[in-house]
Amino acid sequence: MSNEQAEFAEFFQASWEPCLRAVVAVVGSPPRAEDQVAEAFARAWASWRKVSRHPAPQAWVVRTALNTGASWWWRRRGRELPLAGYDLTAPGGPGHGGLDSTLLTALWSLPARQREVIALRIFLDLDTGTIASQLGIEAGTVRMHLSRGVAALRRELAPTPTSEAEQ
Amino acid sequence: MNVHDEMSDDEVLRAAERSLSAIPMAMRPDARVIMARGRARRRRRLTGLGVAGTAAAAVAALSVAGVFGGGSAPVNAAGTIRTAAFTLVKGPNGTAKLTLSLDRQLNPTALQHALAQDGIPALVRINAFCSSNPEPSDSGVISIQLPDGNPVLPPGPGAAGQPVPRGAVMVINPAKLTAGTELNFNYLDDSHELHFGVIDTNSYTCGGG
Repeated sequence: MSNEQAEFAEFFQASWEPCLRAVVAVVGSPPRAEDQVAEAFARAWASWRKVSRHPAPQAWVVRTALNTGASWWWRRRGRELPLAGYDLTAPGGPGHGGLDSTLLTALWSLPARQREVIALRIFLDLDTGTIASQLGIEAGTVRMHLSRGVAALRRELAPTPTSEAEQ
Repeated sequence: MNVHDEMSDDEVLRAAERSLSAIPMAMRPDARVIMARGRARRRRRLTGLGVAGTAAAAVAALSVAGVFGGGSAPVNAAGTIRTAAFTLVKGPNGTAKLTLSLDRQLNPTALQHALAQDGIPALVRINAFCSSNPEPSDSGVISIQLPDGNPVLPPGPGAAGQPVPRGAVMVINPAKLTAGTELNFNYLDDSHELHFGVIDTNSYTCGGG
């Protein structure tokens, strides 16, 4: 294996999961996200000399994966259901392994840009300036999307008022 | 007032991260599979650029246009789509006849797009095997004949790992495809083998071949 291949393999191993989870945060469907992320990494390898010098190569992969999602054969599927095949009908709140169906449903109900900003922040740990440059928007706009997205999630995290409060 | 009024932005984001991290995911593919896919992509891109530069080869350039954004293979008036690797002919009653020469590198996008034009939902991947669990029944969707006309045993569940013989003719009847499923073709670019099966459109995983 050449140095270049070893370098890419190392990047791929370290970046697959965070990139995949960031894309799942935006698109909802894990199979779809896996497909898009695999395609994005293939494109990264096809242009590795450029991508390896990118200031945020993981963000490049996520951005490319999300752009790939606009390809014709996904559009033809029409409206997709996030996490189709997974049981999100159970009562909300953290369940086994921390999966909170109410929170995930709320996340996927956010506008796409808010989901993108949240995904890049929590899985790639990017600062506001880097997120702004990756998405091609102003830093202030990133802060606005983040603030609104977090506020919406916080509202969903709030439990229904209890009978104690009513008494 | 409730306890969540006290949650900071970071706490909310951590809760979202915990929840997203708890979603089960397929195993990471082998890096070599991804690199092979990237190499194939680079080859197709270079081939496409070279061909596009030659006016006499303009028709061939159309056949690989999908590489650059989902374009389609050329279709003649009779509804035949012909590329170097496959020919798709529209048949009676919504059926389609797919002949696989596989003499040249298969362009997965071109095949997938061609099938879609004939109303056949399909996922075509390169250097990857995709499957659903449980595997949808594919009985009756496809019949296969060898180049000499002899039939190949009808594929059933578990046939996805079987390569389609080179030169074989597949007759596909999308009307027999169960709702929510689609055909899946997996192409191995090193050996020029094509494997097929049926997957659940919304629940499948792909791994290296």
